[in-house]
Amino acid sequence: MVRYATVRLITIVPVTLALMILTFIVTQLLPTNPAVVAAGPLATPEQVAQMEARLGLDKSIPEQLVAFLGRLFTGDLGQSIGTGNAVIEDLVRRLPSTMVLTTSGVLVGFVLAIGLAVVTANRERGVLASVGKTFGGLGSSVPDFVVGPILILLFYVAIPVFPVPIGQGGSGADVPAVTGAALLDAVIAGNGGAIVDALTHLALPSLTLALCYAAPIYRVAVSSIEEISRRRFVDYVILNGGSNKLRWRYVLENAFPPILTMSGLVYGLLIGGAVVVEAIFSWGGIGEYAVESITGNDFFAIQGFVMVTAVLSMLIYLSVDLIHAWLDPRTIKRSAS
Amino acid sequence: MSGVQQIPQVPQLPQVPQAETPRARGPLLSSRNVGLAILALIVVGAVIIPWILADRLETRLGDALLGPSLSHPFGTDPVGRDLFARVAEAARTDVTVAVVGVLLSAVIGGMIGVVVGYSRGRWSGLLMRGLDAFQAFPLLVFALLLLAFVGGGVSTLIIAVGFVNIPIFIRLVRAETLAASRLPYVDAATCVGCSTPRILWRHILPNVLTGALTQTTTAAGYAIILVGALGFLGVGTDPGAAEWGVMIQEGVQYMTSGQWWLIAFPGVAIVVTVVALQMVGESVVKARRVR
Repeated sequence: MVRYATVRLITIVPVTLALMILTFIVTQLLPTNPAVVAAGPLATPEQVAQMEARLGLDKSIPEQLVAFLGRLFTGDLGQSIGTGNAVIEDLVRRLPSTMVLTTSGVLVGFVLAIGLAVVTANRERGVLASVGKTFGGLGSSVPDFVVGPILILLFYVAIPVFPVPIGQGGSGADVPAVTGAALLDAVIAGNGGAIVDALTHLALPSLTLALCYAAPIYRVAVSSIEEISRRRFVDYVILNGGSNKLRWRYVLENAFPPILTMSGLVYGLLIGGAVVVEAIFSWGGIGEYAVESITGNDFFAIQGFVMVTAVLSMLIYLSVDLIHAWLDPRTIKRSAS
Repeated sequence: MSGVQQIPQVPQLPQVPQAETPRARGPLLSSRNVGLAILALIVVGAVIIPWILADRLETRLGDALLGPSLSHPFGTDPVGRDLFARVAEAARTDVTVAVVGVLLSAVIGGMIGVVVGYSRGRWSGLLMRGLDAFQAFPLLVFALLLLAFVGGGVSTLIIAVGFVNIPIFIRLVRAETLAASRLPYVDAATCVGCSTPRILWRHILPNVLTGALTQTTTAAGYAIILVGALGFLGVGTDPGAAEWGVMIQEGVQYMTSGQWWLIAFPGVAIVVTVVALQMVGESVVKARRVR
């Protein structure tokens, strides 16, 4: 296990490097000249040339690549023209909000998917079976920018259960902004009222994510549970007079690893992909930042967003693989052979 | 999996072809193919309705924000246009972009996939790792990036949809080609001296086609959602264009005052189209299974 983990951790180095080089190549291929962007729309050709010299764009491409990588290692992702801050600062300030949103969305979706899978697996007909089939099929077809507004219509406009679906709530004068994510700040401040407020603001966006992105988790959960229930050792538990609870424990323990892998995949994609939900609820995370910088042609901000989300998704995939190997050591042998 | 992301799936291996039974082809074009029927209805509606109801697509501020009624079945929008006609008009943009974009990626990705799969060269492994990296990245962000630097408009939108789908087709077709090239008759064709293009065209491609066709319909469904999401975020088409995502975005502003139909009907249009495309995909799979 330790060896497997070390090998996997070491392989992340070349992959990250490849990713950065890939980003560099893509930005070279784009028709946009970052010096023109950085110098601003009113710059004279001399100012653009100056900016090119300052950004090192007048050097040869290999030299530029080395300089680019060097800047990355010092955490320098350039400066945003939209906010005027260093891109890395902007991203770090907004990242906790996105992490809170996606993590809660995946957790709710995970619980929803497994719960539904447990009651619908191995059912051919009946109400529950059709509920499961509908969710597994339709869950893929209803986009988040439809589900989000409909949830707002239902639970804010028609039946006002939740507060105004804008922003994260929670923060106030008595809650210092430590992380930038309202829920975390409220927890750090230990302010009960602020925690409840932040949670009610979190409810609709994370429910939107859960409803829209849990369908693949649900499908894997059902097929995994159905496959395991047919194994010999489950019959063995039943024949030995094991209780229903014991049988489910055996089934779920063995069905778990693929479900976890799929959840990790969804989680990794959502880090960069919760863009729409962030926009609907004005969440203020990195997804909104990305949309702002794309519409504002903010070159370095976009580049920084792409790189940070890619590295984060990769780290999530890695940790899922490690948890998978820890739960089911057979995977280590399989990958070694 | 909803929204815009497409979770990479393990490609299905083609089934070993068995002796053909008398009922060789499945009910792909039968009247019982509900998905195809709905899809045909959408296409016909998209062509005819904006033409018939052209006068209802004009701004009439006096009729702004009317609820659904007999004369306006879907209600009217903030500038008094009939929402039913608008939804139909938007279908032109959405369906065209999705179908043309995906077909483009199917042809390009399919060609690369067949060649890479059949040659099994040293570079194919490297290419696949590169595709892994691309596919670990959300399609929406990828498309956003392309549009940001190339600019909006329908033709760019088609290119963006095509581009993000290419890796999916390369992967699928490569896997099917690998499996198909192990079939005995391919060896036989090689032995009798068939040229490589002939083997690819006559012996590999027919095996690969059904899988790619299924993927085309599924991908077109996701492309509809992708285009909608791009419109919702305000990139892609022009603001105010007839596009389902743009219409939903406009509807969100009127949501709290209770004008639900502005969101509901474009939303239903998206869902029905995506589900219809998925049903067509399933019928292709079924037709293959009957064989």
